[in-house]
Formats: sequence, C-alpha cells, structure tokens
Amino acid sequence: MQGSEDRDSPIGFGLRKEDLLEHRSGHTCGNSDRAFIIVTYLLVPLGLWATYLSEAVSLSAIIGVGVLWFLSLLRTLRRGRPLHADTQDGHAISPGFKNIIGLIIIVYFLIDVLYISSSMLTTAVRLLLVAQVVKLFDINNERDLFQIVIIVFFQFLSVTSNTSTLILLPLFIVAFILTFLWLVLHHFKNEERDALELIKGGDCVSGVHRWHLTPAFFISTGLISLASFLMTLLFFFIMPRVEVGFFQHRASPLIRVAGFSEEIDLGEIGEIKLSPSVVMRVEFPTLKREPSIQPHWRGRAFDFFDGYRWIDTIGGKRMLMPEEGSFRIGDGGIENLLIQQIILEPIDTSVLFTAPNSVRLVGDFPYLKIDRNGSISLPRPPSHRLEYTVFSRINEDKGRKETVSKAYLQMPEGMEEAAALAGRITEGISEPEDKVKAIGAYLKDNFKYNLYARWDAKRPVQSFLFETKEGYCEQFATAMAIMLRSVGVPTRLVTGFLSGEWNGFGNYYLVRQKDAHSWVEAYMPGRGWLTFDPTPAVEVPSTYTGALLPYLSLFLDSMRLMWSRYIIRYSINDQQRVMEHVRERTFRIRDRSETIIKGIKDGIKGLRSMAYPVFIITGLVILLFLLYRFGRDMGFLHRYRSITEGDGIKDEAIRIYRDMLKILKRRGIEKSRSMTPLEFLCSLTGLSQDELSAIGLITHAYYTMRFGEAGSFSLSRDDLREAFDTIRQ
Amino acid sequence: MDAFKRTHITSLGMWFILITLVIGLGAVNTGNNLLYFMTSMLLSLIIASGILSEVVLRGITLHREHPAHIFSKRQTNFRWRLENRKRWIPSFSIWIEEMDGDIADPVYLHRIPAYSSMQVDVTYLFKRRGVCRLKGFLVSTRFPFGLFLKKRFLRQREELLIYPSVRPVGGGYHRGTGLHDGGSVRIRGRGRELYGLRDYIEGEDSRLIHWKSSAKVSRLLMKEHEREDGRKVMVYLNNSQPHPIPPDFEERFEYLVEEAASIVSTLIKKGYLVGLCYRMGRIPVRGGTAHLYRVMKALATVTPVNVAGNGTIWQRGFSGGGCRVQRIEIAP
Repeated sequence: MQGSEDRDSPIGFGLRKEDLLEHRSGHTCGNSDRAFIIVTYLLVPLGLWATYLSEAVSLSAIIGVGVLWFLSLLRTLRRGRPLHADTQDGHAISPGFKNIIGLIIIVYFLIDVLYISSSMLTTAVRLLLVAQVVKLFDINNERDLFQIVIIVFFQFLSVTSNTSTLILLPLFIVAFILTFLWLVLHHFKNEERDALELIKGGDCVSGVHRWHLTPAFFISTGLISLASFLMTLLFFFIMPRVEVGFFQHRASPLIRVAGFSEEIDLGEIGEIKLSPSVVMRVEFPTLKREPSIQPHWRGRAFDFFDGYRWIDTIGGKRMLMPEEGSFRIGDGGIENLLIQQIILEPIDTSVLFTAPNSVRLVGDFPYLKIDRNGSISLPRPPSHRLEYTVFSRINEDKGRKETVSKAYLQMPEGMEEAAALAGRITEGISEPEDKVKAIGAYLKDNFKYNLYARWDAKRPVQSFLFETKEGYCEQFATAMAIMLRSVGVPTRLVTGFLSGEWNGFGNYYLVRQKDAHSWVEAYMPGRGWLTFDPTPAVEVPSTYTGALLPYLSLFLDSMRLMWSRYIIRYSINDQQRVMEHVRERTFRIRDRSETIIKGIKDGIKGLRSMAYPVFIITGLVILLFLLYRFGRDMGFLHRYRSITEGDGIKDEAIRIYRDMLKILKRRGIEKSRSMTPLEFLCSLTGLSQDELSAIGLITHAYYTMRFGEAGSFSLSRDDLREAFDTIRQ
Repeated sequence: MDAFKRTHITSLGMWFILITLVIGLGAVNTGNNLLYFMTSMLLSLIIASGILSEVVLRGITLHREHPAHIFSKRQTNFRWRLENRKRWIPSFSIWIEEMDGDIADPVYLHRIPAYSSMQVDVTYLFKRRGVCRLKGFLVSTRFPFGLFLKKRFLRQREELLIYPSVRPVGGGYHRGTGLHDGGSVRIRGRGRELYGLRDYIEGEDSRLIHWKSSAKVSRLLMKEHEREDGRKVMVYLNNSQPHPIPPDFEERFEYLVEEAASIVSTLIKKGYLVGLCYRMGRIPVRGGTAHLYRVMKALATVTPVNVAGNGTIWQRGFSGGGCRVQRIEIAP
C-alpha cells in the first residue's frame, strides 16, 4: 500500500482525478441536472391544473401561463451552464424591477381581495399564479426551482378547499410520484454539492463523481413512489377523524332543481328534464345487483290542485327524532325490506328521496321532518353531499286500516269534462284498483309523450285531455289524479325521480335531473297508498353519443362515487365500519383456522401409523435447508459476486467468463462454438475501449485459470469483478 | 464488527414535519378529507424516508487496508473495502468517515450495487506520532429526501503506530560529530568498503593489488579500505523532562523527535549504520530499511522521562561502550 497516493486508478465508481478537475471547473452538466429541471417543470402544469380546478382563475389565463411555462422550460434547458445552489448573479429580472413588480402585485391583490373577488382564497390562488409566472422567468439557481415546487405545493393545497372532483385523484397520484422523484433528485444534488465542496476544501480525492441517471433509476423510483402512495391510502384510512373543526362548514355549489317545493306549477318538472346533472346515486348493499323492481324515488306529495298548480295543504309536518340511530318513518317490521343507500348531491331542496313505503331512515341528521303526505325533509337544504340509508317495504301493507282525508278527493273547478271522461272510462267498474288501471290504460293508449308539448295555460288539464292529447309526466299524472278523484278514488300527486340508469361497474342507480318525474299515489282500502304511473314509456334520447362513451361515462361515474365515498366523504363512522369489518374478518379467520387445525388433528390421529416416516422426511428437509443456509453463509454457494475472499478463484474466473458471454449474447454479440476465446476477443468490434479492456482481462484470466497455473495469476478477484461490472454496465 | 444507529432530523426534515403538522391540524379543524389526504401523502413520504434510509444502511460492511509504515504529517493512502451484503437492493447516497473525523475526509458514494463489493482510496493525514486508536467508521445517509440523517457506527478497532514526521535534514546534525553535510567521515583503515587506490610499495601484500585499475594505468595500484567504525553513528536523543516544564516543551520535544527521526532516516539511506539512544531505551547500531523502521517504532513511542528516573542506559550509551562510534546528540 505504500506509495499508493500516486495511483491514478479508478476510484469507487470510476472517478479519476481528471473527472474531478472537470467538476471543479464547473463545465459539466450531468443528466441529473437536466432530470432535476425537467421534473421540476413537469410539476408546474399539475399546479396549473389544480389552480384551474380551484375556479379562481379562468381557463384562458391558465393556457396563457402554460405557454409561458413552455417558453421558460426551453430557456432553462438551453442554458449552457449548470444550475448552482444559490448563485445570485445572472437573474433575468433585476432586483429593482422585481421590487416594482412586487409592489404592483401587492396593490392589485389588495384591490382584488377587497373589491373584486372578495375572497382571500381566490386572491391567494391568483397571487400564487403570478408568483409562479415571475419565478418561471427568473430561474438561475436550484433555489429558484425549489421555490417553484413550493408554489406548486400551495396550489395543490388551495385546491383542496375548493373542489372535490375525481380528477384530483390522478392529479394527486402523478404529483406524488413526481414530487417523490424530485425530492430524491434534490437530495442527490445537495449531497453531490456537499461532496464536491469538501473536495475543493481539501486535497482529498474521494469517491465523488456525477452519477449518470439510468432508466432503471427512474423506473425503480417510480415503483417505490407508487408503493409509498399505497401507504398514503393506508394512512388516510386509519388516520383518526376527530371532528373538532371551527370552520367545518363547507358549502358546495347547489344543483338547482324544481318540483320539490311546497307547491309546483304544472310544467316545472319539464324544465329540469333536459339536464344531465347527477342528482343522486342509489346503491343496494344487500343486493349488489339491479333489483327486480325499479323503484321510483319519492320526493314530495301534493294533495290540493287548483287547476294550475299542486299544493301541499295537509302539511302537518312533525319532527322526527332519531331512535337508536335511525328515524322511524313508517310502521312495520324491518324484515323483507329493500335497503337503499342514497348519496344525494347538494340540491336546492330540503326533500329527502326514498323508495315508496319507507319505514326506517338512517343518516347523520339531527332531526327530520315528515308530513302527512309522507314527504320527508331536512330542516334546511343541504350545503354538501348527503349520504343516508333507507329501508322500504317491497310488498304491500295488506290489512292496513287508515282514515284517508277528504282532501285527497278535492277537485278544482271546471273539471266536469274530465270527470265525465273518467266516468265513461270506469263505467261498470266498482273496484278502485280496476278504476285506476282503466284510467291508466286509457291515458297510456290514447296520449302521446311529448316533452315540448304546449297547452292552454288557463286550463292545462282540459287542454291536455281534450285538445293536445300530448304532454309529459306532470300532465299525465295530474289528469289521472283528477280523473280518479272524480270517480271517488283518493289520490295524490308525487314528484321525485325515476329509478335512473343502472351502473354495472359500481352496482348502483345513477339518477340525473332528466329522470325527474311525477306520478300518482292512489289509496286502496286495506292496502294503503299504491304507486301508479300513467306516463307511457318513452325512449329517452341518450346523453352520450358513440359506442364506448356510455360505458366510459358509467365507469368514470362509479370511480367518482368511490372517490366520493371513500375519500371525500370518508368519516369516523366509516372508520368504525372498517374496524368492525376487520374484527369480523379476524374472528372468521380464527374460526376457520380452528376448524382446519381440528381437521388436521383428527387427520393426524387417523394417520398416527405414518407419524415416523413424516417425522423423518420433515427432519431431512430441515437438515437440507440448514445445510444450504450454512453453505451459503460460508460462501460455498455464493455466485461470482461472493464477497468473501478465499480460494476458488479458478472457478470464479471461469464462471465470470461464462457470465460475460451471456451478457454479450444479450447484447447481440455471440461467440460461436468454433471460436476460441482469443479468436472471439479479436473478433469484437463496436465496443468501447474500457469494455474491450475488461473483456481482454477476463479472457486472460479464463485462459490462465483454465489452462495455466493458478499461482501465476496476478489479478485479484476484485479486478475480475470490476472488469465484469464494466461489461455489465 | 458491531454497529449502532442514530437518527437526526435535518433542517429540511424539520420544515417538512412542521408543514405536515400544520396541514394535519387544518384537516382536523376543517374535517376536509382532501387535507387529510395531503397529510397522509406527507406522512407516507416521511415513513418512506425512514424505511429507505434504514434499508440503505443495512448490510454495509467496511474494512480498511493501510500501509505497513505510516508517518505523521504525511498524506497516506488507505483503501476502504466496502461490501453491500444485500442481495437485491443497492445502497444509495452514503457518506463514510472515520469516527476520528480529523484524520481523513469523509467519502460520498452515490451507489453501492447490490451484493457486491467495491474499494475506495482515501487519503489519511495523521497529525501526531504515536499510537493511533481507530474506533471504526461512521456510515451515514440522508437518502432519499434529506429529511433525516441516519447514522450507523461500524466498529472496526485498530491500533496504528504512527512514526514521527521525517523532513529533509540540513547541515545542523553534524555539530560536534565530525560528520559533513553532504557525506560521511571517511577514515582509511580496516574494513570492507573501498576507500581508494594508491601506488604499490614493494613488499606489500599482493592480494590487495587492484589488477583492473593497474592494467589501465600500466602501474601497480593498491586497494585501500575504509574503516568501518567511521560509518557508525549513534543518535542520542535527550528525552529528559526539565524541571520546571517550560510552556512550549511539548512542541519542542516533538520537534526533537522529528529531528532525530529525520537524521536517522537520512543517515540510514546514505548507508550509515545508525543506533538510537534515549532515556529508557537503546537500539544498537545497525543499517538497512528494517532497522530504520525499528528505530522509527522506538521514536514513535518515545516520551519525555523524568531525569530523576533510571538513566543507566543513557549513561552507558554516552560512555560509548568502548566502540568507536560517531555521536549525534539531540537535546533541547
């Protein structure tokens, strides 16, 4: 070792003194620099997207900043010199000009927060965007890149308070992976800088050099970051939800719907039937498939019709308080019920939608209101998405006795013609249900569904029945209700939604505004209120065009539901449910394992005669395993990379030579059987000088070990490994 | 080789944790699940950082190889043999340093491939002679994000004997010895080394005729030999400790030891037979490299001795033991 200071051999990863001198001169710009810049720049569009989702900045502004981002990227990549840690010279914007810009921005944002947006958050988001633009054209050192990433981070932070759209999920995943990669690259840059500074400070020529990043590095980092993201999900689900917030109320934009107030004008429902906005999603936790009956989602019921509009006059709203975690809506047991789990988007009505004949409702509400028409409502319209579970009777409530108010037989003035028509249709029919069926069939057979039908606003029912003979659900239901009342059947008009579109991906009904509907409930003595829908079935034009789009849309919607259910609306109750589920699973596994153990014990009892052979075989297997471990630990079973020095270099040289041939074969350089190793060495072309030297060295070792005296071999095992690594890399 | 670990939070890590806490507080306060989500992301980065740095440090073993003879105040190359015993996982971004950090600069390694070994040449500089006890290595990493500094101490105890620094010697060493600056004192006499040639005087022993030279000049020339005791030097190092001890005594003493080492080294390289005499020890007059290192070992460990102590050897050395030996005395 004496005199080794003069050695100029590769150190560590191959750093030579000239490499170091090159570093010291600062002329190198390794691919880690470029990767660092690119990853930083890739984070910017994600931040812009997040800014756009926060709805504080218009799309055109985002596109504008996007163009500036691209120009800035080109500018930064074309710069000849590498970015340093904290170089202050060479900034594109002078400090004085920067101060003036800063002052203008502050004044503008004061005006913005006070008079334009009047929102601190919106102003902050805009401020971040402006800061980002300024920074994009003032990148001179690593600190500037660091600041850009901080801005992106705050852009993501701002989006969390404004939106909860599904697009955030992929956005978060990509941002997480890129941030992970960025942090790793940032770390390497810092360490490399520290190491180089250390060398500059002294004369030590240690193992520091620029590391050339390989695709394998990016792939492995990406995979590790994905694994970390799974850890994120784990944390998210187990992190205790402590609801102690002071500013917890978070209003979401309300979906405007009509037809669910205490009175509705005829035609109100038609206004919303063109909108594809999603109103609610209904799952059936016990079914996990589409139910055989397609329920209507009942909202509000009306008893009084004045000829133009329906009014809920019976009212009599009473307050429902939760009993043992659920609201008792109707009578009856909880057997044989249709369980619906409803996720209601924030709409501008306080009505809760349920399947008819509901008996229980479970939800996180302080109290509910229910009127005599069976309409359930919240104290006030919800400001955010609601989730509740409803238990409804599937079968009729036979034997039920109820006094029905005369209000359900109320007739407006001027309905003589309609009453006469009803009388003709039901002539000779005595049973109320038959009367309902006859009138329903009459309307379905003789009237057309037309969402754009016009009618006489002064006498809408008469106009529908005797003149236009076309209309949509409201006209059909009103006409039927009035006609039934004229023949003595108590009726009420109900507004709500049709069952909706079945989403097979998530096993739920997707109910949109266009599914808004009205129908009739008629009272059948002894059977209660039954639902009758006189509106003829009609092919509703699809919201989508193309073959794949509906499926894609449904798939995305189910993803949206999952995102909402498991991320946005994830609560302490969900955590409890998960814990209970885990507990149940654990018990089930324990029970199952006990059964299996018992079975094994029984089996062993039966196979006691075979105990000795089994014991011997098991012992042999364990012995072989221990021998293997011992051999491996002692180095007998190590491959060529065995790091324990000792004998056996002959075998190793031969093994390394064979491994080298395999690597060369993978690279398309194959040694034919007829060639000697030396001939093969001479035939090699297109390889670098280092590789050729390494192959020559291994070939020489192979020759010496195979055909010469091992003792005369002057190379060490490390030399061989180093040569092999050169070829492998 | 056993090891212990220690973890420190870096300033970046402190900021990271602080931001995570603030966002977590915001999540708890607002009940906003997206804030919970962001908190979870930051937490998972912290955990991933802890796991990866732990994995990176695992399975790293280290051995040092060093020259047989090490002089103080002179850069010496050591070789560190690193092994990554993890079968599949490489180690990244590793800093390695000696526990006694001022003898060698730390080394940074980007990557140690999985299940492989590599070597790094490191320059050591020992400032003092004597026994240097190396405790082991400090292997540390801030991988992957620089949030935590995780250290692992790899114990590898070793005792190195550091020789005193040897510097070029001027003319000062010959004072009172009869030795010249550029060479030795040459005295004609009995010995093996050739002293010179002179003309033959009749009657002299013909075995001493230098036939080759005689043939060249066509007259008989006699060989004369150099007296061997003229090439013997005993270096006397006065390592007595004065009373009272002067404030700069330690520096002066180290200087003397280095001077003695330098003289011994220079003389032995010039072919002298050199011995060393000091209080508590005496090395006989010998020549050659092996003897040089023997003297150096003695000089590496020589310490000041109380004059009141045993000075017998010193006295005997000064008496010369009846042997004609040149003397060099090195004293404060």
